[in-house]
Order: sequence, then C-alpha cells, then structure tokens
Amino acid sequence: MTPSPVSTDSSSSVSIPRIHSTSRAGSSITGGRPRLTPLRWGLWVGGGMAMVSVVCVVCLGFGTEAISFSRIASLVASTALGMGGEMVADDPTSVIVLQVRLPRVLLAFLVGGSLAMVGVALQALLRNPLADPFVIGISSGAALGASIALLFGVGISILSVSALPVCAFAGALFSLFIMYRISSAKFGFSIYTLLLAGVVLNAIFSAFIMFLTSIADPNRAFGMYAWLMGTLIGPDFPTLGVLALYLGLGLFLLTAHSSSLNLLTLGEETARSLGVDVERVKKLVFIASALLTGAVVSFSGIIGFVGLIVPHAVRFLVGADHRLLLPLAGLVGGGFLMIADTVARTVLSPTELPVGILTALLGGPIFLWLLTHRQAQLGMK
Amino acid sequence: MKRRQQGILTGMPFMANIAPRTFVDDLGRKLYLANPPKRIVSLAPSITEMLFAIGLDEEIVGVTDFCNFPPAALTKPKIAYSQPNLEAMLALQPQLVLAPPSFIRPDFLAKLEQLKVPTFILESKTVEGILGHLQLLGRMVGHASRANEQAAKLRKEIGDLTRTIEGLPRPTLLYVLNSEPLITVGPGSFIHHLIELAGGRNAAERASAPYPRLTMEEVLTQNPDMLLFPVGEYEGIPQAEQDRWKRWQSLTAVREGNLFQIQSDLLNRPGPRVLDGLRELVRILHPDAAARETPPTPSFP
Amino acid sequence: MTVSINGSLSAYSLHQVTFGYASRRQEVSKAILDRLSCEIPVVQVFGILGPNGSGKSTLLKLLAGVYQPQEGRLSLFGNPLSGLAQAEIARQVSLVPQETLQVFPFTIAEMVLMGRYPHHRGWGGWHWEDASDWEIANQAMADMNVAHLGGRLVTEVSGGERQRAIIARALTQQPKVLLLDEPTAFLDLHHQLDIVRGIRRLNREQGLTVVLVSHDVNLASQYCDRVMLLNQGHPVDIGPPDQVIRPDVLEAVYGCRVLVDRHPQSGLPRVTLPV
Repeated sequence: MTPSPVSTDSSSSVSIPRIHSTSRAGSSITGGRPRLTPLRWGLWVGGGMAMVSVVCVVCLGFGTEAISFSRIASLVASTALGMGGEMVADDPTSVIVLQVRLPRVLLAFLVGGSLAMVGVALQALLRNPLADPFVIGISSGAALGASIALLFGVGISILSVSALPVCAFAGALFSLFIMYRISSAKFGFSIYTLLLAGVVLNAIFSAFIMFLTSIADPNRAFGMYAWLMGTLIGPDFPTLGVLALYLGLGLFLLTAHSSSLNLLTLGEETARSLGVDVERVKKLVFIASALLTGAVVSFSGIIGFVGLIVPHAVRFLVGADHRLLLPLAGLVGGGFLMIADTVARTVLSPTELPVGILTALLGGPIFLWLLTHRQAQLGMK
Repeated sequence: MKRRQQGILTGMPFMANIAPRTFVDDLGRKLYLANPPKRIVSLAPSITEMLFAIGLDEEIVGVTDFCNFPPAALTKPKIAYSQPNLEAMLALQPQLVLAPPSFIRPDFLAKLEQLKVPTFILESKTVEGILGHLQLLGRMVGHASRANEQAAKLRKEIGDLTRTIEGLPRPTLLYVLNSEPLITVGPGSFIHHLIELAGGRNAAERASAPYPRLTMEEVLTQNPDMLLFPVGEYEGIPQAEQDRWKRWQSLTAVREGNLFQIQSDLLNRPGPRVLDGLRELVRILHPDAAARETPPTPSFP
Repeated sequence: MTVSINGSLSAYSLHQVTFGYASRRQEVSKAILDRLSCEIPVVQVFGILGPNGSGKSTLLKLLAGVYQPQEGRLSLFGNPLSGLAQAEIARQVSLVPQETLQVFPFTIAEMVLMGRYPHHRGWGGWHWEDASDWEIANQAMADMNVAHLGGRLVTEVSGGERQRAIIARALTQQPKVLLLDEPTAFLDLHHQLDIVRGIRRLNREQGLTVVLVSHDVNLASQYCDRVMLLNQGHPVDIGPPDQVIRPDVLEAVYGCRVLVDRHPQSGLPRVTLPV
C-alpha cells in the first residue's frame, strides 16, 4: 500500500460527530415511521382486509331494492358456510344480493384494486407520481385493442374470456412501450414530458376509437360508447373467477417485485448499481401492468384516476415502501371503487351512472390540485 | 331563421292549416313552399319510408346509408347519416331537406339555412305523431289525398289491433336496447310508447330517462314476463349476449323461455311500418289475442 | 488478482476499454471512452480528474457495472465484470451517483436500508430486513452523520443531507469498492470536510477501495493516493498527485493557465485560479 500523502491528523484524531451511538441501532430511528417488519406489514394488510370486508358488506346493503342488513348478513353467511349449496333461484332477495350485488361488488373490488396497483407500479417505473394507467394513455391503448376485437368480431361480447382481453392486453402493452420509450429518451425526461405524451397518446387512441365507432353500425357504436365510459356489470361467478385468476397473476408479479420497485424509484442507473436486474424487472412489471390494465379495461371500460388518487392517499398513510404500499393500495383501491360504484348504481336509482364518470369527477380535480400545489414533492422544481 | 312578431297565432302548429303553403316543423320553424318540391332529400330511414308510403319515388333524390326500405330506397343516392356530406347533398340540388332533430347538428342546420336550402325537421314520438306527419308531408309534396288515405287506413288498423287487447292483463316486457351494459327504453321514448300501446307494461317505467342504464336489481324486482331483443341488419344484440340472459333463472321471462327477437327497424323507426311493429309486439305480448285477429294486410300496397 | 505495474494488487484492471452511448442505428455514435487502459489498486483512494465531458462519470458507471463496455476488458478483482450478475457486483461495489432526484416519500432510514438489497436473495427481490441489516444501516448513517434524520423524508431534507444519506446507503452495501461521483458537489465546507475525512477514514481503517470523480483538483490532490487525469476519453497521466498535478499538464488538459503551489499543511500540490 502506498503511504498516505495526507498528514497523520486524518484518521484518528478527527472523527465524524455521531449523534446516535451504534448501541441504539435498530430500534431508534428518530421520529417518522417505525420500521417495516412482517408484523407491522401483517397488521396493516390484515387491517386493510378487515376494512374492505366491512365496506363490502355495507355496499351489499345498498341498491335499488331496500334489503335489511340482517337479511344480507344471513344470506352471505349461509352462502359462505354452505359453499356450493344450491341457491334459492326464485327468492328475489337472494338473487339480488348473491347474483347481482355480490358479483358486482367483487368486480368493483378487483377492478379498483388492480387499477390502484398498476398505478403504484407505473409510478415507480416511470418515477412519476402522476402516472396513472388512464392519464398516460395505457387504458386508452387497451380500450383501442378491445374496440378492435369488439368490432371485428374477434370476441363479440364484452364478458367472454376470449380474444378480447388478449387484444386489450396487446393494446396496453403497445402504449406502455411507447410511453416508456418516450420517458427514457436521453433528453427531455421530465414529468411534463410524460404527461404531455400521455395526453397526446390518449388523443391518438381516442381518435382511433372514434374512427372505429363512426364506421361501426350505430347500435354497436352506442354500446361501445356506453362501455367505454366505464361500467361495471356483475358477471357470473365463473367469469369472475377467471378474471380473479388473471389479476392474481399480475398482482403476484408486481408484489414479488416490490423491493425492486423501491430501488427503481431511485432511477435505473442507481437501481442497477444496487444490484437490481433492471431489464428483467422492467419487463416483468410492464407485462404485469399491461396484463392487469388489459383485463380490467376489457371488463369495465375506462375507469380513470383510481390509479392516481389511491396510491397518493396510501403513500401519505404508510410511506413509499412498495412492499406495504402495493398490497395496501390494492385493498384501498378495491374499497374505493366498491363505494364509488355503489354510489353510481344508487344515486339515480333505478337508473345507474357509469362509475367512470364518478371517478373522473373526483379524480380530475385532485389531479389538478396535485399538479399545482405539490410541485416540490413531484420533483418538478 | 328569424322569428318576427307577426301576430299572436304565428308559429303555432295549426297555422299550417290556415296559410296553405306555409308549414311549421317540430322545432317551430316556419317554411313557405310555393310549389310542391320536386327534389327531396331525406335524412332519416323513417322519413324515407313515409315519403314512399305517400306515393313519392322520383322526387326522392337522396337518402341515408341506413335507408333500406322499401327496396326502391336502396337505389337512391346516399348521403351519410349522422355526419351528412354537405357537398354531396348540395350536388343533389334539393328543394326540400327532411331531417330528424336528433342527429342533425345545429351548425349543419344553420349552414343549410344560410345556403337557403329549405329544411324541415320532423320528430315523431307517438303513433299519432306519425300519422300527423304523413298527412303534413302529403300536403307539402302535393300528395294530400294519398297521404290522408294512408293515414286513415293506418289509424283504422291500429285501432282494430288495439281493440283486440283491450282489457287484457298487461305483461311486463323488458326491451334490451344494449345488453352489456344494460340500456333500455324508458318513459319519453318511442318504443316505450309502443309497448304501452301494444298492451304491455315497460319494465323500465320507473326510469328517469328515455334511454336509461337500468340496474339489474330493478330488472329482477320488476321481474319482466318477457325479454325483447332487437335484431337486424344494422343494429341488434348478438346471440351470445342474448344467451347470457339465461343465467337469470329467477326471471319469469327466462324460466318460461320468453326471450323474443324483433326486427329493430320495426320499432326504431317512427314511420308507416309502425303498424307492423305494433303487430309484432301484440303477437309477443298477447299471443292469444293476436291469433284471433284477422291476418294482417301489408301496410304497403 | 492481477498485479498492477507498481506491484500492489488491483481492484480494477481496464484494458482497451471503449464505450459510447449507442444510438439506435449506429453501433457507437461517438466513443466517450476510447481504448482506455489502467489499473486501480486496492485500498487506495483513486481520483479521476478531467474537464467536463472527459468521460469521468461514464467511467465510474462502467466500473459499477451500470453499463457494459462495447470493447475491451474490464475486470474486478480479476473477474471479468461482464460475467458477474448485477447483485454480485453490487455486493462488492457501490456507487454514489452525482445527482439524485427523489420524488417518493421514503424516509432516510428506508433509503439507506435499500443498500441491503444485493445481499438478499428472494424471487423478484422481495425480502425483509433483519436486525443485522438494521445494525449495518444505522452504523452507516452514524458514520455519515445522518442518524438523527432517519425518520425524515428524503424529499424534505437538504441536498447535503440527502447526499450524505446516499453515501450511507452505499456503505450499507458493505462494499469493497466505493465509487463516488462528485461527492462534495452540494455540500458546504464543513460537510465537505466531514465527507472526505470520513471516506479517508473508511479507507484507512476498513481497507475500502475508493474511486472518486471530482472537478475539485485540490480535493483530489489532498485526499487521493493516486489520480488519473482524463481528457476526451484518454488518460493523460496516472500517478500520485504531486506527479500528475503540474501546471503544464493542467494547462494542456483544461486549456487555461492555473497556479500550482504547495498546500501549507500537507505540502501537496494546490491549484488556484490566476487573477
């Protein structure tokens, strides 16, 4: 070793002032959040699940028909206990609760949860807290794919698990790819670039969709418009199961990578220097996000801003650690959309509103507020 | 168009009867026609059907892409529907443009006015309205007697038809305008009117809009006795979507297999074929009464 | 391990390394590093100096395995870097990048703990930190004087505090080699001194190899065992500071005359700008 060219004062006589001694390691992070342990994680996620269950039962209690909570509780309990038991087909209350409300509430949960988790993942990947599958044009891409499938008869109906989700998936993947190329361009990476690109991408896809609807026959076009506005229909349980499977796969991929997502928020180069296999993680997160967005859009059309509001709220609550943020955003997003959809189907009863209208009315202003008041946090200064 | 204060009665529909060659359309616009127009453009399939029904043919110089009845309409020059091609229309040198209010854009109408193309808006929301329009069109184009005759005949046959179902119980019917998401017809729509006229009760009669998205709960509560799906060349519910209704086993309609289809043209078009549509509806709603009725005479000679 | 020219062991050895940011169509549009060869000895503080655009930061990223050279050989402790998995590199080398934009509200402690990532194996990278991870992170935060900020959000603290936290994160990786890109750029004098002394101490006490990129010639002169002067992707000179930092060399590289005298305490070269 070469002798130190620096005079002897450096290493021993001057030491860095230490505020905390190492003996207090582990337990003593001043202020802020306590450390994330499996226990704390379990408490949050368990609490979230309990909350979602309560919300679910409450949402089951609202609808066009007035049905008492005790009746709903007994119906749900008897179904849950006697799994697979024959449901009384001609009891209207039972049909309404178990075949209309329950599938729809569950669908709202799956859709809302997926959108929120995709929002979280995209925000981490693009390092942009305003990324939302709707805002940056991923939903439109999926909708375009789905519209093509619908109009060219690949899968005539919206609910069939056929070519439709595949086309929606392809559309979502395509727009994600474009978005990513834009955001990772050597020059001009900024939150604004991404938002502007999203606006333009949305405009292009909307134009294509309008083109398709204008050449379609009026009734199909009418149905497509209705679907694009963001609608939840209570599917039957097998369909719901298939969707849950679809989404489960995407959610598993995202959750498994949540530690890597934490590092990706530091930037790709830094993440790589910390040992993240960035290319692989990016690819997987992209595919998972496209999978989720495609599945969700092919079931429920375009429901905007859930992926924006919910991650912000949850981050405010528990911080940015994706190991907790992802599952909790999923639960909160699910709960949020269950409530929003309950409002949508009861406020003008027996007519219902497309739930996409509600989320946009709620989310749009919040988005603007974030854009104008939270610039520092968004790293826009 | 300018509205001038001309007297207390100006602009009222019955003024059309007083001033023989001045006509008032359904937007309250007045139109003076010195002579029966010889070149007419129709911007709605229902209007095209009316024009043919009162004996016009050569005078019809332009129709929409969707005008497929009577077969003679198919040979007419086409101008698009919701976005009519202005140039193509002007090239036809129309002396009268007949349009529905729903699809014509205000700026398009203003342009036609500016170009002094006589434009007349027709909106039929009831059967009586259709009959009135037939007669009105007859007077405008100089086929009054033929039109009156047609109207009288239709009125009589509709009267005969509705008499057969008088006093019968009214089954509940759900008209599935769009299946996923469910959109149906509510009070204020033409089809709602037809369902009631044909002796049925609309499952969406409590809805607050003419074309409401109805909650499935409301459908289950109203428990329709029959479901009706429009089918047809241009519009209709695909078979796969119809079949998915069969999972609602608690619906009387499903249990009893009362899933019906109807040519959407017959109900969607407030024109002379409304009689055929009504007859179909009666056959669906009251099969026994329909059987007693005399065999239908074609509404077109 | 490879043995460098002067007999000591090499942490890195570079042979004919060529790198350029590849644009889509061309292979390499313009080489930023052109057939660069050098040895970086272990347990030394190695400084890389050079004007803007000379390829300093790029070289550092190559050393961190963030990018792969298009040509040439680059090995870490005798192993070709291209043959190592990203996490394997990260267990031995940590990088403190020049600029860090943090948009998400992680706490300082959470961010520092991310340094433990390469030491955990789990599918997709999911893991829980255990007590030893926390101990290491707390030690690093204490070393960098940010332990009291552990609960604060990275978005709230000052640039200097964030910079120190990032160095703490790099230490939490428990690397053998620490790569620093302008570590003192955002810091006031007091914290500059803290950082460079801290780094020096880690080098002396724990045998950490440090590679430091800096604009600050004096800092490099004072605290580096060896420096490399880089110009347009080529090493102009490599050696102890008092050999490399000479007025004629600096003028050739930077294109302006500077004054070089001796530091009153250490006697090492000191550069000042002429009036």
